[in-house]
Amino acid sequence: MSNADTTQSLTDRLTDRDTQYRIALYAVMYGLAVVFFIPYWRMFQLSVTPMSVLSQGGFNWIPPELTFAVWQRYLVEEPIIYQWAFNTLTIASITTFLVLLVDSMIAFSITRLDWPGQGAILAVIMASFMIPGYVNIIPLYTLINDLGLMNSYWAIILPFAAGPLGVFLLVQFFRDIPEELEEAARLDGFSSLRIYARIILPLSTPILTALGLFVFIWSWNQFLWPLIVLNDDALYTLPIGVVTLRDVNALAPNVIMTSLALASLPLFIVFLLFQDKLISSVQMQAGTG
Amino acid sequence: MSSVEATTDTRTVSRWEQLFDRSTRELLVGLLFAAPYLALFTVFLLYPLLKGLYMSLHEWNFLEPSKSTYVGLENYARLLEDPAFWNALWNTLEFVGMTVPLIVGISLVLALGLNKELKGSRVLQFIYFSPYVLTVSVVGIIWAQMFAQGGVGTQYLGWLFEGTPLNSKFWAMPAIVVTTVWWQAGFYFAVLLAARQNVPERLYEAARLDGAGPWRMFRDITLPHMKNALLFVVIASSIFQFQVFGQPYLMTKGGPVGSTETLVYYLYELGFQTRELGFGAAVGYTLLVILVGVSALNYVLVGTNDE
Amino acid sequence: MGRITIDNVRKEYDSDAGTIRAVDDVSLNVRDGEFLTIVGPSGSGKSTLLRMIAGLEDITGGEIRIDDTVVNDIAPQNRGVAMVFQNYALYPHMSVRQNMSYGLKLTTDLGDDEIRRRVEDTAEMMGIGDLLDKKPNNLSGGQQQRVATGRAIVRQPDVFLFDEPLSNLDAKLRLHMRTELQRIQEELETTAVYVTHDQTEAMTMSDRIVILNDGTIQQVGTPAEVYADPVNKFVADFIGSPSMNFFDVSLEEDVLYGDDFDYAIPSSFASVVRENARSDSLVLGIRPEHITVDTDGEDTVTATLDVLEHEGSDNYLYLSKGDTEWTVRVDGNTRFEWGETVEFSLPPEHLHVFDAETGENLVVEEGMTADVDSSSVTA
Repeated sequence: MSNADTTQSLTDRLTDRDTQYRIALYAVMYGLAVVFFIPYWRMFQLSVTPMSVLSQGGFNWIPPELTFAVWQRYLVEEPIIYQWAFNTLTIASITTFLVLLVDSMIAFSITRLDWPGQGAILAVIMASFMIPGYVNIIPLYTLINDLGLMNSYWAIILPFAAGPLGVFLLVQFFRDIPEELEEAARLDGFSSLRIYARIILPLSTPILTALGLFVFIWSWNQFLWPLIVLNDDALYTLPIGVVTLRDVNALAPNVIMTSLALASLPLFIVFLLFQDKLISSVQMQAGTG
Repeated sequence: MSSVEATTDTRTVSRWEQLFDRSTRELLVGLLFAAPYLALFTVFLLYPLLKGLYMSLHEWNFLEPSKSTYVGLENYARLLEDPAFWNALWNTLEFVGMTVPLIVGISLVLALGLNKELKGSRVLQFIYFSPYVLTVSVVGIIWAQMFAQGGVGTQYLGWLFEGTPLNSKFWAMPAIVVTTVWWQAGFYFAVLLAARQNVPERLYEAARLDGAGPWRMFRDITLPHMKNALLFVVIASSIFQFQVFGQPYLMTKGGPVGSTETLVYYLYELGFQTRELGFGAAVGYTLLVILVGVSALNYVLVGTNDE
Repeated sequence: MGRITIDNVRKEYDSDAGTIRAVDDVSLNVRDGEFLTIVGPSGSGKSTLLRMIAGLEDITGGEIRIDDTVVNDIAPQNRGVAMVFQNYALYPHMSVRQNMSYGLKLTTDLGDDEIRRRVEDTAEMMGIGDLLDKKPNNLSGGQQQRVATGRAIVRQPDVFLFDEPLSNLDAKLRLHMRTELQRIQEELETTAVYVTHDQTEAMTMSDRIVILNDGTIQQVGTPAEVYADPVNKFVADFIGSPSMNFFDVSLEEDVLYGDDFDYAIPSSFASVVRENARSDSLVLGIRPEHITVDTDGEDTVTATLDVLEHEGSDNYLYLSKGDTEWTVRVDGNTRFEWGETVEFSLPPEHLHVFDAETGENLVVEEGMTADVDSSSVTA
């Protein structure tokens, strides 16, 4: 009898501790989420606060008055954001397409074809992995200038597509595709081009999607390099454009914040749509690190 | 139903096969597939890399490169005596030294917490990760506002500093660190979450039967299994944060009094404001050597730890 | 048509340890419509040989002809061969129908309707007619095997190449597919070259067997030939299950002396051995199923029963005397006790004597020699 009592109280204590633990867990996780959310809220809140309230100074969590005038201005009246979004979209799309194409081609050539020197070439590409992008900017700038590519999309696209990350990821992935599949295909009369297009690429959709999403986001968000090679308002990307808007509207936080929100919206939507894919693409990269 | 179609007449050698033997064909096709990337790689990565070295040995004339004069290692010597370089290096180390531990700590807490079954974990995951998809200019400008007069940071932590943190020699860097952690932690959180989810659950069951408490399970099971992922986080974030540029450029312009001027910012100013391209290239190369050293060291550490 | 002529074919790889010769000067003729099995332990070069016929490996030296065409430089798809792989190698992103029709689309100028008809006929024959629209990942191992075989059949090739096609199946299914493949090959009368490491498969399925070791052909012959008259100790050991008993012996007068036994043999037999032997150290071989347990032979051997294994219709006796161990197969009905002393005789017509050094069989009957070229008579 007494034995049963002690077990009883033990489980009681355990569930008690368990409950406390869960409460603490929720508090920490949701607390951090609130902290993480504050900047978003401030961005939105300031973007809908009228100038009249802002100019009084002071601090509010919830604006006493609401206005969507600035949103309306940038969505409808001043189409400059659309122009920038179009530039960014063009650059990011071409970059993504180019990276997927040329990286998968060379990865195919290195892993699935057999020719002398491929090992050395792969080693050089892998070694360049250690070279951080920014250290090259000065010689790259003179190169772009010499090629007459300043103020063009290609100035941003081509250097980005030269990066080795995609080659690295795809080489890893292609290596694991069973050799027998390719041999069966050769007996079926596939040419190398057809094996690449009909066997290797379709079997690699997960990694290609992951890589594509990642390249798209990175390319979309580039800052320093476009800042250097783009000097024309009409060619700006969103990340550069919002900085010029801030400099012009330094005293109107609602204008600044609206432009930030608008600039962030496209990728937020992409993220909403592809949350799991994007997160697994992050994890895929780490797997190779 | 013996074959009629596939008779000897199909057993032919095509012209392409007549012209080249098998290994030559393989080489030609292989090069054809490799060529587009190799061209990009050579022109936009290898060539600038070598040109950078060449430029760093010259007093470079941007408008008329042929008028550049060879100066040997003078640029590097000047670099070592330039207090601005040492200031930038120190600031960068300070930034990395604060940011990386915070990122690792917070992303680990987020990953371990979210691994438990929580209500609304998808929403939480979205919130933690989402800053990562923002561009640095959006992040920098939002947080510049947060730390400006009337911003959240200044409103609640104002007693810590006079004026705003971004105008304080002491607080400007921590403000940039906080901004960076908010922006980047989600990425590493995702990495660590995957690593945590890959730890086999039966190990915890076995440990529970062995009488292990939460702390022991964390120390003896979770940490060892996440070691590689944690190393990745440390290495990747160190290398990435070392190249910080956007946040100081947008939030402080490197100020006040150069207290947030980082190496890449310094490089940017030399290259694109004062146009000292030869000297700037030397800075770039120095940065390269530092970073390659850091990652080589890390690769060695990871390599030996992998066994 | 589907004759294959292999003339002095070599395959060499470069490796860190120098050149490795995977296939060493192999000559072989495969007759039209024949089911030929290449069997050997792993690393014997059997798969390499098959892949050279398919065109998946370069030929370092020698010549392979299919019918009268030298195929050394002909691309795999143009050789008129179809192959079934060990792991099936089905395209995972394509349906069964697409898997089966792809080769036809690329290598023939058949119309879509004709291709569809052929694929459906073949699928029907393979019993996978209702699986045509499924993806390979949704099929069982046995079904995938059928699709892989069907993909080869539908091409109507001159030659089928099988690379251990059944080794990924469980025992029961393997047995079933064995007879199924035989049936289909007989029906189509298409030449088949079949590679396996499993001697039972080789024995049960083939018209002829090629035994390969270290890249060289050991023996070519019908299953009965290689079983009854192995040319050397390797073949004797490899073919048959459980393996042949081997004992180091020497011959004095007409008596074989082993470590723990001696046995008198007919003097005619002994003189053949003496005639062919190059040294005194010999190896005596006899299959477990050929040892007779009785006491009325001219000479007998005795040994103690260590282990008795029931295998249904048969019993296996594991006997020993000193360091010498014997495996003996007896009828399932006979009863023995553990520790019992068993007396048995070794029928001379089933005795094999090998040279201990070279492994060569010293008593091979006329006309059944290991002369590889004997197979080329029909070519």
